[in-house]
Amino acid sequence: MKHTPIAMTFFSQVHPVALTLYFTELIICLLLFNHVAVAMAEFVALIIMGAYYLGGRSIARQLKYGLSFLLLILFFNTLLNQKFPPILWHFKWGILTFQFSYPAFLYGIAMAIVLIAMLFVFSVLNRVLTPSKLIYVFSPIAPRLAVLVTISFTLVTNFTTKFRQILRLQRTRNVDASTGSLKIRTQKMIHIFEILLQDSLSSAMETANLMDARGFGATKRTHYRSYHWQLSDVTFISLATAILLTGISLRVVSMGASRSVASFTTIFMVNDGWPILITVLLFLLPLISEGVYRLWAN
Amino acid sequence: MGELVTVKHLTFSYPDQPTPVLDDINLTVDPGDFIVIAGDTGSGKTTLLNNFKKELMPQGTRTGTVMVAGNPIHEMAKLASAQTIGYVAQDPQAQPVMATVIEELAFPLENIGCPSSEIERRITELANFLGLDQNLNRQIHQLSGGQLQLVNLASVLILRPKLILLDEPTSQLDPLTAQHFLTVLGRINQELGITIMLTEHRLSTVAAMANRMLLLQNHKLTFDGTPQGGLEKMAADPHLKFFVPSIPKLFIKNHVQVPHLPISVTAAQQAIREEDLKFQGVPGTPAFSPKADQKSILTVNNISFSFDGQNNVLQHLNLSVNRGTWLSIIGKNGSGKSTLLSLITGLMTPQHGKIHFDHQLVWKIKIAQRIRQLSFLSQTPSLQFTSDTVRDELVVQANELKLSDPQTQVDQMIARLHLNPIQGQNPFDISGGQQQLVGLAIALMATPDLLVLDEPTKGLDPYTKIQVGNLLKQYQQAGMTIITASHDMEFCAKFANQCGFMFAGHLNTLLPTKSFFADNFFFTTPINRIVRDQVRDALLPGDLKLINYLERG
Repeated sequence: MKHTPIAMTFFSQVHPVALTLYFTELIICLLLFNHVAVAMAEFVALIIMGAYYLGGRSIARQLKYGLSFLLLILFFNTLLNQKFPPILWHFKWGILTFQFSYPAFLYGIAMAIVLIAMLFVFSVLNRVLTPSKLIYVFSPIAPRLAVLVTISFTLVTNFTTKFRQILRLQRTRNVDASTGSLKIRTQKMIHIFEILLQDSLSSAMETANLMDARGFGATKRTHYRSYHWQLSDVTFISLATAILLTGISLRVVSMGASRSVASFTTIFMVNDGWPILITVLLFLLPLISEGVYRLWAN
Repeated sequence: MGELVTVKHLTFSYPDQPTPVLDDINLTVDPGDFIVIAGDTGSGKTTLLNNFKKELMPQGTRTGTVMVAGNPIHEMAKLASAQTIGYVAQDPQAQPVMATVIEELAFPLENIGCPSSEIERRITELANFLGLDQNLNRQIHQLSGGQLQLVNLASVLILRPKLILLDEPTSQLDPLTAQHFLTVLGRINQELGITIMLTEHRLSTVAAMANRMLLLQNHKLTFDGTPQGGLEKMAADPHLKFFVPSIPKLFIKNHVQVPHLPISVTAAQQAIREEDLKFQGVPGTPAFSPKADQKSILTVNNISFSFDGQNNVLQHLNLSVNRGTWLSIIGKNGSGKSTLLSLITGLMTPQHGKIHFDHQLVWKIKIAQRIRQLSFLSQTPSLQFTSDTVRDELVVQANELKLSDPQTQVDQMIARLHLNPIQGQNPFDISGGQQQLVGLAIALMATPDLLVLDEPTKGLDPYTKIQVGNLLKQYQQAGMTIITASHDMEFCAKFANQCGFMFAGHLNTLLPTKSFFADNFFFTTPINRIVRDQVRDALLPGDLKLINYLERG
């Protein structure tokens, strides 16, 4: 299937302020509910959204990292919460005892999924809310900080490239960070970071001077791209806000979330249906909007 | 018309340095001037340029005055400074801070508080003027060095300054890209009337475009006049004569008296026609070349390499280098030269094909053994540094190579490359040209069988370049094999035995240097361009003898 370039999607054309609000709402929504079924529904909806905007390959790569994250959280959750029945498995060795608690296991799954989903939200945000849009959103609040944060994003890319170059070129000095014992490799890596820092500092000074020379900090900054609110932006963010408010009211009446680990006895709990519907709707709102946007085409 | 810049009795010394870098400089710059500042390395060219821009003024002791557009430079507000004086640095990578071209062009306008409607209009206008309109949405890191330097110039020009200062802006560009950049600069001067001041070592193109030359010698301004007059003065100096481009050098060397000393190819061809000059080739001293029966030290068989798995940087490339030869690989920025050198030195492994060094697969040779036989100087020597002083860099390398009597060998190398004055300095703080020499010294510590140099003349002044060339030639005569990737046609023409052109991921047939340049039309030396009708394989002024001028004179 041919992948639609992200710049051609409805989502990336939404007003940057509306986009920022939408992503904030997604994060609030992730924090509202903690039941396993709701978390899973959110996660599946996010995978569908992510696959559309980032591509299947990128999502598969993130899922791979997510899986190791899930196992780590599960391990600690089941290790730290052993008292909640039902206990599925019991292990005793000398004075050490371990009880595999089913509620702790389910709670761990829910927490891990919410956390991984949060990372997915940020990776979609990163693609849709470009640095230029971020500057536009945050410029009225802290103009210089906004541009510095954006520049730092660019610098991270440069650092990564330079780091790879140093790793390669230092082999001409018999410094190979991929060989030797763990201690030696760590020492070599620290040394390479020192070189990176020294080289980056000297070039950063020049870059900073050249920013100054082009008037950075001379007066209040403006922004080159002006965005205008369209009816579609207002409709999109109003719908998203209405869905989130519905979610909050569901949470107030204790749907989709529990306060105690002891309550996590089944994957699907009574009253999870409405939170699932609401969250899926909120997470898939951009895709639904894409459909409407396409239908609207002449 | 009033002067744009007035400098009166400017003297400047860096902290803790007793001798001033600029000593009693007096000059004026008129609007519309195109000025080239020439001088030896360390003569104070960059320091003079930086004294014209408040934000870049170096720390130190300063006396005298610098006035720009009627205002003392130190009193100029940042906003006025940005809109009056633009600055383009030597390293194209140093300036950009944003992710895309359009954001980079917008950055200075946003800084001065330009309304968004005007920003858009200015970008549209400038992008069309400079031909950047097709690249506006490209990522900065995807641009080649030449494109990046053009974006840097555009990002300064968009503020509509009265004066643009450029510090060796083309030193890292290949000849054709550099020519394009300077042509754009000429248009800016001619069509927009913007005053240009730039420092440059490669004077061949820029001296033909400039209307004035300033010459700095021993920290003093010793000449202020036409580029022709400046070049004649330089030709009389035993050190600066190396800086004179080959076309005027040919005329000065042969004492050809013409009303205007030719600098460009067109002017030289016209002078040759008008004066009816006849040249013949000079056999001269035969260049050292290795014995024909030497066996190959390096073989590259059918290699392909890709960084991203999407596009091949090198495709089915084959190469065989004989022991004791000096091969120069020539090509435009981004043609894959540096990638090939990294693969040859075993720093990267190709996805397909084999590279054998002395009958061993190069990437299988243990690193400690490899650095004894094979040395590499990268395009960015600072990334190969590892110590706090220049001397320590060499000591560390000597220890890694397990050399006998390392201190003596280090002392010899320091003397050989004239690193004495900087041996106690931090290698990250010295100039680009000095870093290049330190990198070369590190590479030579092993006296390797194969020396691989990526742009060895980058940042070096013409005098140092010749010294480095001569030194490398001595190593070659002692049996070392040398492979260089270079943009410097005259350096390759003077020192290499073989040359090859890199294009579309593979290397064209290797040819002996003379035949290579004689067959080339674009990538050849200026001397070859002006006299190829008379002496087909003449590459340098020393290859020619004037046979009819003196008779007529």
